[in-house]
Amino acid sequence: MEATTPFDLNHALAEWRNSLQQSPAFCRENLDELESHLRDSVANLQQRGLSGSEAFLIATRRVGGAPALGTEFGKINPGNVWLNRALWMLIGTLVFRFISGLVSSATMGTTVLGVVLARPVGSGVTTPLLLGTLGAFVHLLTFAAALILGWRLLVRKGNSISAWLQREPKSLARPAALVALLLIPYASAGVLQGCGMYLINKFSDGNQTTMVSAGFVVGTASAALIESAGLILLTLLLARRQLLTKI
Amino acid sequence: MLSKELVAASTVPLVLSVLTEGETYGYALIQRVRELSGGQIEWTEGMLYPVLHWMEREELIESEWRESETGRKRKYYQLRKEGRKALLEEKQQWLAVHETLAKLWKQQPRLT
Repeated sequence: MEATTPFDLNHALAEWRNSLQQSPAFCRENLDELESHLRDSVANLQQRGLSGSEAFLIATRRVGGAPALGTEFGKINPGNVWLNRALWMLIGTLVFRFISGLVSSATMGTTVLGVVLARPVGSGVTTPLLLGTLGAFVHLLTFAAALILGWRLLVRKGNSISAWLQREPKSLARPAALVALLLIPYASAGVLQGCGMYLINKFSDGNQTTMVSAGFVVGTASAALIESAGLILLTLLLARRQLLTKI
Repeated sequence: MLSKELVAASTVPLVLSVLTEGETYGYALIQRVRELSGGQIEWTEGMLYPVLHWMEREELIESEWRESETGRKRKYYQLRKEGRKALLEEKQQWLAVHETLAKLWKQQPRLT
C-alpha cells in the first residue's frame, strides 16, 4: 500500500506563489503580504476543524484567482508591467534580427555557392534571376525553419524560461544574460555574412561579383516581399481576432 | 450580498473606519468587516491589498512590516491625518445617502 502524502502547507504556498510570480503585476512585497494573509486564513480555518488541504483550498479561493488579482495589482504597479512588456519587445526584436541575419547569410551563401558551382559549366547557366529564385527559396525556408523552431521552443519551454527570468525580480542579471545569449548568434550571423563577402571578392572576378550581388538582391527582395505580405496578413488576422473578443 | 459596484465604492470608507479602531493587518481587517456586516460584505480578499497600497500612496494610511505575536511577519496599517480628513468627507456623503433613503422608505412603509 502506498502511503498518502501528508499535506505540506509550505510546499503548497510556494507553488501558489510561483503561479502568481509569472505575472509582472506583483512585486515581491505584494506576494509576501498575500502569503502572510493565506497563512492567517489557513490557520483560522484549521482552528474551525478543517484539514490542512481543505483550509488551503478555501483560503486560496477566497483570496481570488491569479488573473483577477493580476489585473488589480497591475494598476498599482504599472511600471513593472511596462518594464516587462518593454523587455519582451526587446527580446522579440533581437530574436527577429537574429533570424534576419541567419536568413540573409543563408541566402548569400546559396548565391555564392551557385556561382562557384556553375563556374566550370559556363557563365551562361547562372543568371541573376535563377540565383535569385534559389536565394529566395533558401531565404524563406530558413525563415520558416527558424520560426518553427523558435515557436516550438516557446511552447515547450516558454513557462520555465519566463519563470527563470522572473525568479529574481529585483535583479536585471537574468534578462541581461538572455539578451547577451541572443546577441552571440546575432553577431556570429553578421561575421558569417562578412566572411561570405570576403570570399566572393577573393575568388571571383568582377563579372561574378556583379552576378552574385544581383542574384542576392533579387533573392532578398522577392523573399522580403513574400515575408512582408505574410506578416501583414498575420497582423490583420490577429487584430481581427482581438477586435472580435472585445465586442 | 453587496453588489460589485457598492463593494468597490464602500471599500475605502470601510478600511478607514476600521483603522480608527487602531492599527491592524489585512487579514484581521477583512475579518472585522465580515463580522460587523454579519457576512453581508464578502470581499474577494486579495483585492483589498491593491486598495490598501493605493490608499498608502495617497497618504491616507501608512504601513510597517513587524513581527507579530506568532513570530511571523505581518504588514500593519494605520491611519494618517489625511485619512481622518477623508473619512469625515466620506461619512458626510454616506450619511446623506442613508438619510435620504431612510426618509423615503419611512414614507413608503409597504415598499417590500
